[in-house]
Amino acid sequence: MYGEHKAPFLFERGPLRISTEETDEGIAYHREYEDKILDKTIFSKGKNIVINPIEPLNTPKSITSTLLIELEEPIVLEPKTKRSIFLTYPLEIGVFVKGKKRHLDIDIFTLVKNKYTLYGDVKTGTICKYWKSSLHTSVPSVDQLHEGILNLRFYNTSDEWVELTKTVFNAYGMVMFYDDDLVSMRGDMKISGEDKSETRFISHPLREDMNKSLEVFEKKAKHLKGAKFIMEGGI
Amino acid sequence: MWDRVLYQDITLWDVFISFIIILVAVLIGKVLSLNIKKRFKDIISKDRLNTIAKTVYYIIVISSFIAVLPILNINLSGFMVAGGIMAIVIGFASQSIVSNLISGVFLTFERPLRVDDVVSIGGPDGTLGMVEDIRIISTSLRTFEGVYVRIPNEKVFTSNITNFLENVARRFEYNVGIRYQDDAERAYEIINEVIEEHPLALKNPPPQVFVEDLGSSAVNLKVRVWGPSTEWFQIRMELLWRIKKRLEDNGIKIPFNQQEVWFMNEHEKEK
Repeated sequence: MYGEHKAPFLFERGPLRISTEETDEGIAYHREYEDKILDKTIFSKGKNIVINPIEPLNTPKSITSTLLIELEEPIVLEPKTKRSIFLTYPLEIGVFVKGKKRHLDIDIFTLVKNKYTLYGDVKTGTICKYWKSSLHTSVPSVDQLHEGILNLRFYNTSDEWVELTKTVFNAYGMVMFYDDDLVSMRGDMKISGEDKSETRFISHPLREDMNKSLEVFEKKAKHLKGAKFIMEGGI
Repeated sequence: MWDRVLYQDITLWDVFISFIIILVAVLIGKVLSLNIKKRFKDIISKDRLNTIAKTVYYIIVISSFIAVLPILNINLSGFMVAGGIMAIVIGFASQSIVSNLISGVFLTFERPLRVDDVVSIGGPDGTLGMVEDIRIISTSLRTFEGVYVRIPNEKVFTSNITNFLENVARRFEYNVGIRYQDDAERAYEIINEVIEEHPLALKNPPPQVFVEDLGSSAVNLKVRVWGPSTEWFQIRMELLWRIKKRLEDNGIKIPFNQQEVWFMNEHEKEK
């Protein structure tokens, strides 16, 4: 389903149905998922629509730019260790109409359950999108409409043993890639103490020949807001 | 006409030029502050952006005033003596304005409220609304009834301020009564399921459901839920009805108040 498509087209997958029709003035867009229906009329010369996974921080409301992934089982790390694991994360799907210079998102939806949580304390903490992930040492098999794969490399730079239970990432640095059967991104986590670490995304695909997703979070803000996240409320 | 002397050697042309300089400065200030607001709206918070834009605007306008003083042959040292007396007169006359101005400066530094915050000024019975603007002299709120309220900064500064968005999350609670014959532990499970299903009800801090007291007609459960400060009211509106429906779907009823009445004559007959 992901990629660039020329109207008219139809995708059906379980309760999800996306269709477009050519009209005199442009495109008629229709999406059904469970009991939710969305129709949009697009006045456009071009007939191209891009569907791709986007930062999972837009539904049901865009109230935060951070994603917290809690591990199903904690990882214990000895001092000065580097490791790499695979986690899953929730996906949101963005439908874009392709213009001459810019793309416009006309629909954003998700097929997974949304949940939010608080990272840190009530005064200084951050509201995060919440996801609980199992731990994998190789790329797990997941439904690419529901979940993506995060390749997380972590370094324990401290002189202490640490226990890792969660990781928090900033959407402003999120770069996602997709191909026919996988959606993925790569991230780094530098642990500098029992309660402190720094996370950031790496802009490289997990495999060769993957396509880069269009982003919803604005690129210009990325430079000023910073793509890193400093975890000071525990790891 | 332009050579006409108005006072000393200042001509109409000098006054005109001064007016044009100030006008251009005001325009540049407006354009620049609008551009700052537009360019940085995604990067800097609205209240900080307003303060920066206003500061830039006033610096430009005040600079233009200072720049035209030599053209109009106005010597600031001449104001020193007269200024001293005037300062006393103006000081008495504008006591409340100066007080509001100073309060405004302190509010800007202390930042107990920001633009778009939901606040109550003046305690529990005070004015409740969303902060629209914090100006030098006054602060304006928009109440939830859509009414514009302007409050002098001195009053804001000296009043109790409750800021509902100062912290990122807040808690709300419900009281839910169930019948004595219903299983309270099953009710906990159902209520926790409903809270878990709501995307905006926070996973952490976790919700709490417990028996608060054994009432005269019902076992009273207390339900405590955390939500993002910006969304808590929406969650509060949605959850209670869902809890009521789910409990009833599972055979747990919310009882009406009831009272057993014994009549004395019937009591004696029984004896």
